[in-house]
Amino acid sequence: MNADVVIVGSGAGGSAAAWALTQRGINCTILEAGPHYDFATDYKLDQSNWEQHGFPEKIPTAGRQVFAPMQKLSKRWDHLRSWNHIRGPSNVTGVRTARGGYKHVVGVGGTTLYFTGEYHRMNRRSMRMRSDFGVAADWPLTYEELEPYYTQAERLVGTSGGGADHRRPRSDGYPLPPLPMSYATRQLQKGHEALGLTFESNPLAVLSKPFDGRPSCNFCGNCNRGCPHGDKGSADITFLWHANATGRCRILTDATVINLEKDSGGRIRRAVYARQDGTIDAISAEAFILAAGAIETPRLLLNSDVATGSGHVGKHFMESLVWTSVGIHPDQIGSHRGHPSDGICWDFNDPDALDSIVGGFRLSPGTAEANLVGPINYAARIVGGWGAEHKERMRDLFGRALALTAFGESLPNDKSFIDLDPDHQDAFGLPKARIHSFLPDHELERLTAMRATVRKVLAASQVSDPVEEFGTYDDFDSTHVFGTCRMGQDPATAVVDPNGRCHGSANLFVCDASVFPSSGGGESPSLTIAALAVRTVDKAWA
Amino acid sequence: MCLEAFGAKFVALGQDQKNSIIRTLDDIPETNMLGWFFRAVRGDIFFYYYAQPESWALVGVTDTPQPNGHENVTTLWDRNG
Repeated sequence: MNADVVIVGSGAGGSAAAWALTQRGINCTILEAGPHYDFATDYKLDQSNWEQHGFPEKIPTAGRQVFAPMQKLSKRWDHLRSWNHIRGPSNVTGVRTARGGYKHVVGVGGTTLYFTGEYHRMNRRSMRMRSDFGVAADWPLTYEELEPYYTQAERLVGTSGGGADHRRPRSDGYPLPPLPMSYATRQLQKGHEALGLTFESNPLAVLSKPFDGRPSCNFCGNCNRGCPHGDKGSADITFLWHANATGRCRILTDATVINLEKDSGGRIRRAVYARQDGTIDAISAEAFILAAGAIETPRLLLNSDVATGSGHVGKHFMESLVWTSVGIHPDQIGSHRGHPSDGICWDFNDPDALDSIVGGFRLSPGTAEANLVGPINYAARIVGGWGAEHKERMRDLFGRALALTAFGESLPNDKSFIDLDPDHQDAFGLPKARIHSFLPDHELERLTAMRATVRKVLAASQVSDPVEEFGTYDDFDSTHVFGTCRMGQDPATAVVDPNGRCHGSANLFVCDASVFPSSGGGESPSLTIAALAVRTVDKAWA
Repeated sequence: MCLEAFGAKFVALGQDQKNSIIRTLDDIPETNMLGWFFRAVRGDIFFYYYAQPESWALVGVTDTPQPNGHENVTTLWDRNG
């Protein structure tokens, strides 16, 4: 079997690369380890037991990777422990857990099937962390070089937004107006404004108006369970839909790439892939693009012994640094309604926003992502009790939980990396990726500042003292992961060049968040992944 | 526990006696096996009870999140509307 270009993975990066290639008349084949999801039939939000289910994984993701032993917890950071007023502490051990795990979706569209649609540009100052702040690494390209590709991706998916944040300047307005801010989110906005902070509409790959044959959002508040409405711009119904329409994009599902075969010059000749029934096949191409995410992409390179010359494959792993506090608002705000992340505060997003702590963060509503949108979770986590008193409190409290979340910068350190686990293999006998995660003191100082700010804003929003708080100090819980195939000019310190081409392998490219030299100050990475992928294709196939 | 406290099984107790027993269980910390068991059973009850649409009127919810979503999200929630 042959193709012009083979793409490994169909998420934010692989789909955008496929779209960009097909627009140039180039044929591509996507090898996707998972199955198709049909947005109209696979999601359960119209069923009475909808709240009993999270995202309906067809390929279970728990256990696909292995975690190295986690760090011991220290009394110094006890204030960062997760807890609930009914259940007590979430982690009663003295060691960080990985119960939250690496949240991702194996299927056509990848983790965009699960995301809430946040579509953020990087803070331009976060792309110069080494030069300006002495940490992480500089991006080998400027924000201005990336900006046109941001604009292309935003137009393709139909991005809704309205803010004018100076940290991420725009050459053009948003394609669509912002989604209306829910009543509950407006209470958070009032809290921010009472403290002199700016709280604006969050840029979203979610439609505020019908666009491209898809309807506008109907505010069900459950993006993370999969959008059956078709307004959320997941990769399957945006980039891949348009790539397929050209007739130049073929998607092979149930195709797990297990090896990249190279010739003596370092060029990739074939991708070998396996199906769940054990059959093995291979595909040749002129070029190969890896887009399996910041954990599975380095794993494939390490298992294939490709592009490993620098010793940096799997290094510089960055994860999600997150804090959420939940309290009760005095009014019937109906916080189970509306888009889960319809507002944002960028005021702390600059790398030097905090005194003596490098790296920023941002704030956004967290009620829906905390899974407080239905009666089951209210009963178990907010109300508790039993009998008539329980029912009376359910009647009183439902719809009044209000959460605020801070997402922060994650700086690389020597103890956070991905390698191959010698003791655990997948179904095809290949070593699984092993996640080494460590949060040094400066990360926990930033997390402490995030917690303090979240609490302060909630109090200013008339919300009660917290009834539940959780963060990533005592439990690894990451959707956003970065950095394990760092992008840079120098082959001695980077895996790919500034255009995403692997140093030492001229026909191999990486188009996912593993190329990020720094994480940003809490920005969701999907848009930047897509923009980089479109740029990589533009540079390589000009 | 019921036999010790009231000399009868739970189902034979009056409402105040039942409440007393449940309150005792609720006060037992989760680190104790009995406290853990009580919370596990209560969690299962919540999980299945509130998956029944008949239970939703209690909290003012009338429908599943989809296919209709929510209207008037920018205004105070009218739980009777």
